[in-house]
Amino acid sequence: MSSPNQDWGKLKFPILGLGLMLLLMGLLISFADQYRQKSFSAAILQQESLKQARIKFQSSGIEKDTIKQYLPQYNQLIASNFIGEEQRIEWIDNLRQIHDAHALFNIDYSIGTQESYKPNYLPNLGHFKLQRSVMKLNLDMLHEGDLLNLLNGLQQQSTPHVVRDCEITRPFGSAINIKDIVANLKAVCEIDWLTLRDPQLTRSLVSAL
Amino acid sequence: MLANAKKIVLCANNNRLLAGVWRGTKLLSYTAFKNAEQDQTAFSDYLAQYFNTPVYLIFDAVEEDYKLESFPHTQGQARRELVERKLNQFNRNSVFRAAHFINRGIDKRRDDNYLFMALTTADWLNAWIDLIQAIKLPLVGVYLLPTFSQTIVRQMKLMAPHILLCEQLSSGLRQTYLHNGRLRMSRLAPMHDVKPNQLAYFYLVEIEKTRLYLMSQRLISSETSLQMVLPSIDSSHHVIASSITQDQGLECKTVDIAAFAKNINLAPALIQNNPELVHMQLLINGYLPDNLAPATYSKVHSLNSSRKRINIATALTAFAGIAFAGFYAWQGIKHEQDANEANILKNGQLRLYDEVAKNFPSTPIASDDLKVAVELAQIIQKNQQTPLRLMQILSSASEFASQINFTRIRWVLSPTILINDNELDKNSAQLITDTNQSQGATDKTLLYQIGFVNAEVKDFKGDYREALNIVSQLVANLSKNETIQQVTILQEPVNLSSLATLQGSTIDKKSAPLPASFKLKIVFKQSDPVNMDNALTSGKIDRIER
Repeated sequence: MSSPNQDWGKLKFPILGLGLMLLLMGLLISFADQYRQKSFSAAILQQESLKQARIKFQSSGIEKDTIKQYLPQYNQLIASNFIGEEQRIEWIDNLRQIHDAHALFNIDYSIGTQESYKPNYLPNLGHFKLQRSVMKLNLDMLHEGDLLNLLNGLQQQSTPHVVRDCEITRPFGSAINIKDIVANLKAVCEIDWLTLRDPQLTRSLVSAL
Repeated sequence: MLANAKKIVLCANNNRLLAGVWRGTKLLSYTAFKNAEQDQTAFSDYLAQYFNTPVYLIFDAVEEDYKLESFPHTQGQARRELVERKLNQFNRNSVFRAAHFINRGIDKRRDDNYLFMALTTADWLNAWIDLIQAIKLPLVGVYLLPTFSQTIVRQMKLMAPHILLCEQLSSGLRQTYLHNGRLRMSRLAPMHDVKPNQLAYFYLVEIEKTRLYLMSQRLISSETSLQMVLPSIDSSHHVIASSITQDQGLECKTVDIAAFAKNINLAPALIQNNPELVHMQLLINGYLPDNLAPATYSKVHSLNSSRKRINIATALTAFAGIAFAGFYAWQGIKHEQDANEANILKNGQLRLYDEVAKNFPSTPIASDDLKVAVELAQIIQKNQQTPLRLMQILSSASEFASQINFTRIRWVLSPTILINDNELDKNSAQLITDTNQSQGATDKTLLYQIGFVNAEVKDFKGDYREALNIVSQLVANLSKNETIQQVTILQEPVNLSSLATLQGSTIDKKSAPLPASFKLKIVFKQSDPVNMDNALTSGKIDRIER
């Protein structure tokens, strides 16, 4: 009669073989499945690329029209410094010219650091990166027209900006003085100077990061 | 492959052992060994050449015992325990024993009917079994020869309710009683020195003994019509059958065992000297009756079976695994081919595009980006507004209410009208989201102009009623303007709410009263600067010339 050890000896190799086979087949199936999924993903990706290439080719006429239509305007935007680096010196020079032209009282200005900006009213920035520098103006005025002259003067220059907030106050208890040229009103305004970064430059910066 | 494996079937009686080797269902060879020491050694040598071949052992002996028993119907473990208890009760000292389920009773209790079978003396059989186990051949089971008789009767389509099958075997005359085709009892009568001319008489005597035994056991009565069945090879059995019919008045039928042997794939000539080969062939053909040997005897076979099942499982695992992996790999290759085809087509499309694009104007960036940049600039330009509009409205309104003095004006561009004057509005255009839709706005890219106006009533003498009228008139005038969406009084000259505290003095009119200050919030309709100028119905700035 055989002992349990002898019984185990008879079944040991078949059981180990079965275990090994299960392991091997599990690994084999796993590798095969990974290969299948990988090639499936690659096929989907290539199909999508093909679709994009077809659309690109089919819409090449529209693309040509788009370039013809928008390239001159784009070049104008580059010339106006909307695309590229901001031109703070020009803004300040312009401010001085407006001040001199309209004989305004002293204008205090401060321009904050440039920051990335994603306002809701500009929903599609494409590949561009929008930058904003907030300029704060503080000026004394003879009357409200001084502010309008200043803001209209700023609108004459080309860099796009948005006058976002203006507050006009009359000093407490003061009355309008029409005899002497003294400040009757004070104004504080905030202006967003907006510039776009070139998409190629943006991409290179992102890839460098 | 498995069906063609070799099998050894042994049939042992008190005198000899017949060993046959089968491949599939074909008998390859057979050898007889006498129950003597010399032949047992030869038997051992004979088995040694069939390593690991399964062995089936049939025994045919006079030391057999049959007992019919009925007990309440049970199932599962309870049935096993009950059967084991009965086996111990009837055949305590027998190593080779089994309980064969016959059927269930036809009365109301429907008891289980069992036939308990045993070999009462097994020394002669153990000698053969010891030889088998000595060379570690896998013994599948030990079977009682009469248990094959019910298969013979069934396959010969003998339907009589009471049959006595009389088989002439090498061990003697085997008489097996079957009721409704099921084994009830069997007895072996050795045939020593029985001459051919005495055979009929021998049969008559032995059959009568059996009939009397059956009656004593109440298995049949004296009126029971017992059908005798004699398997015959030659004409001698016909003579015997006629003799029995004439002398005993019993119905005696002969059946052609040679034809039956042929039917079960056994050469008829072989059973002339070894009629047990029929029973052995039946076993090979797939009929396995109850095994009388304890489990320990067939342990080697059990281990071999387990090993075989594990090996089959391993092979199936390998097959299934390779099949699955192959299927996945095939799918993967197909996807890869699809990807390559798509890549080729894509490159073709790109080449076509490049050909077309040669005629495009030179552009530093993609056409879509050109458009985006221009549209962004247009939106920003559309929102380049100044407080001009608010000033014009206030100037116009103050003509109607000359008693008003504006002390503070705040003008804000905001994506929402839900802002307060005291909010730090530096990032309002960025932080407040999606409120335009709730206000019924049609253009998300256009900011709202909102004005907060602080003012006081000029020359106020404490007449709050008049002050309230002036403010109401101002609001009414402002609301008439088509460019204004909403005018809200944020603060009135006096708070008349029942929820607020109202303080003052009756001599206010005579002394210097507190100023009647109020505050308005004016929200303009969305429109771009060009349209706005046209929409203004009135407006003039009080310019104080320098």
